[in-house]
Amino acid sequence: MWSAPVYSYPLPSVASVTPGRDICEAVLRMNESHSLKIKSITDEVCFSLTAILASSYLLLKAHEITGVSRLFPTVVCWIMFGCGAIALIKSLIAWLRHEPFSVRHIDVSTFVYASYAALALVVTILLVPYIGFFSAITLLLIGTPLILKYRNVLTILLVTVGFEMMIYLVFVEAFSRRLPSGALFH
Amino acid sequence: MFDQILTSFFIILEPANALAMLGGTLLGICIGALPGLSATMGIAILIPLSFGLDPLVGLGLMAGIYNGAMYGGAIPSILLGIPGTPASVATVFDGRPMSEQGKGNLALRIAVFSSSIGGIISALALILLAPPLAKVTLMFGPSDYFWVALFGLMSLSLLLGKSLIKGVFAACIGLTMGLVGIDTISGQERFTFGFVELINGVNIVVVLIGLFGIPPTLKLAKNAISRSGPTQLKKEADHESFRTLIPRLMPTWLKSSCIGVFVGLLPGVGGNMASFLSYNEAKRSSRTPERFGNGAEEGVAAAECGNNADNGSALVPALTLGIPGSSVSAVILGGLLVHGLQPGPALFKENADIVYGFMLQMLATSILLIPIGIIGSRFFVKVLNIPPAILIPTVFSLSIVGVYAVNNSIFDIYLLLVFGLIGIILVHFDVPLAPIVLGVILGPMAEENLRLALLIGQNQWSALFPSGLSIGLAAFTALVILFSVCKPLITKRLNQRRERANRRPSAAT
Repeated sequence: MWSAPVYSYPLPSVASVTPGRDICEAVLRMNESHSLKIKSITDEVCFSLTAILASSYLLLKAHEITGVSRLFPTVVCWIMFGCGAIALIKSLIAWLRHEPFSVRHIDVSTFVYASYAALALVVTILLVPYIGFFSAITLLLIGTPLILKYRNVLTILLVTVGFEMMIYLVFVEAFSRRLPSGALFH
Repeated sequence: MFDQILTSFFIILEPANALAMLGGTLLGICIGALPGLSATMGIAILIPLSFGLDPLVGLGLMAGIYNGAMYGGAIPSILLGIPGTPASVATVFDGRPMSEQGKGNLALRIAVFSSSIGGIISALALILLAPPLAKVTLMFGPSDYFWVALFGLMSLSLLLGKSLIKGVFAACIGLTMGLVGIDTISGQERFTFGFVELINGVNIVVVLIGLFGIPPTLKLAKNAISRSGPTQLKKEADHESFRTLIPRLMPTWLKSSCIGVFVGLLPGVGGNMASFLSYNEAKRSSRTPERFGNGAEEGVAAAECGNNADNGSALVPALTLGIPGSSVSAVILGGLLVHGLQPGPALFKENADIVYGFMLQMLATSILLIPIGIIGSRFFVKVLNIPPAILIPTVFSLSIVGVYAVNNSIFDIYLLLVFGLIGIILVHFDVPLAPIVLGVILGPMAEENLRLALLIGQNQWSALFPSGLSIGLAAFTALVILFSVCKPLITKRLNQRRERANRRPSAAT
């Protein structure tokens, strides 16, 4: 999958960075240019811990299954657990050996605006069963550009009306799909 | 076979099918032209739109988006120096300098012809290679299918990402998602977490939209605030006409097409690799390699021809064995399943008109690229001016309606959030997403055939190797695993040796 080269790139000073004793302190800090510095080793540790936790939970769930049906899920969960464990051991070895590691910079404003967009999506999804699909996406289509500091109200309104009409014609009229109804849309 | 191709040819010429191909190609070019959006995401989000449509109309849309997006990526690469898709990174090397020299239109014209030629050759390869391969798969038994599924899963998960561990982890996540629901053999619930809605399993469309639709859309938020100004096109300078360039570009097109087709057949390699390999080969075999990187027409031709030549051939293993060669073909595979079309030999037998029609649509949309690309290039540039702040909620709304339309279920919309969150976390940790889709598709197939083979063989593990074919497939799978494990070690050794060799002469001086 392609993603625009937004924040993940090694810096020229990669080799000059040396791991410190206190990972948490050294790893995540804000610099003058308002970007988060995350060392790859932290990413790896976080990934491995997440993998171990997720696979452990799934393993517990797999053990609730009985008979032959349990075999395949259990094997898959153990492989996941193994991946997490190997990743953790690898990153710990790299840390102990004081190997140079790359740093990724995350632009704080990017993170903040992406969070706003994500929040808008979550709120819309939670609102859909209560106020109906069209009412919820009207809020999404108008609210998100405003949150993202886009101020051309006429364009926003035209896109909202045009897009909703397109959705209505394609899904409701052409394909006879019933979209979620709610207090404001039946 | 030729009778079926002829029948399908007339079917795809019907107005609805022709319109779908045209619309899909136009849409694909627009999607590819927008940096951050890819063919994978476009197809994933538009699969629900094709529910109510005839399968061939839906597949025509997908074929158009696939071919269109692969070319569309060249537009921002050439005009802005920003690759629209990963496959068009190599196009930037010479496309952008050409644009800076006032040859932007010529570069776009070369790109569209190269993409079209690559696509046509690749579609022909698909039409010629897929049916005989499908006949071979008729000999497959449960154990063979198990090994094929395992081979597909391993090859994509081990070869696609940067990390072996993360690739396997991603495949396992996919397998787990594929296991959700009632076990068809024993009738037991697995990983339903007490939700009745999960008894029938997780719909592939929800997984696709959640994983491939949400994370890249959120990344667009960065562009929403730091948007560069409108595209500034330089005034066109006097330059060679495209016609005079054709004889010079012909060898590049042929070589790049062959490279693209070959790369496409290999699972997990993908269009960006085809594009880079073609570019490198064009540079290596050129009499004037110093022109590359400074606006060489052959550079644009090689990169674009290579990345489109991979499109059709990547579908050969996908249609015949159910093993997609790339993330886009994995999504297309999901689209086929949504329309009730199960890849494999049965697909060529029971739905011959649809499968041959789809292959012809790949060919037709490649041809369509030329007129649409030439006429539309000036207009497609305007796509680049769509503000991301408008695009983000539009994609979100389409995702919500698409997911809901699958089962008319609000629960699926909540699941979209869950898969979106999983996608964001995995993208952050650089975990490849394509193996997840493959796991969802191939997981049930692998498990079902494994259990069937063991049942037939009375629970003896030797039942997994009943024939030479099974042993061969198992050996192939083992080779892929061995190669993936050894590759980093070999690369490390080679680098160490090179470093030592470099140090020696410097020490001597």
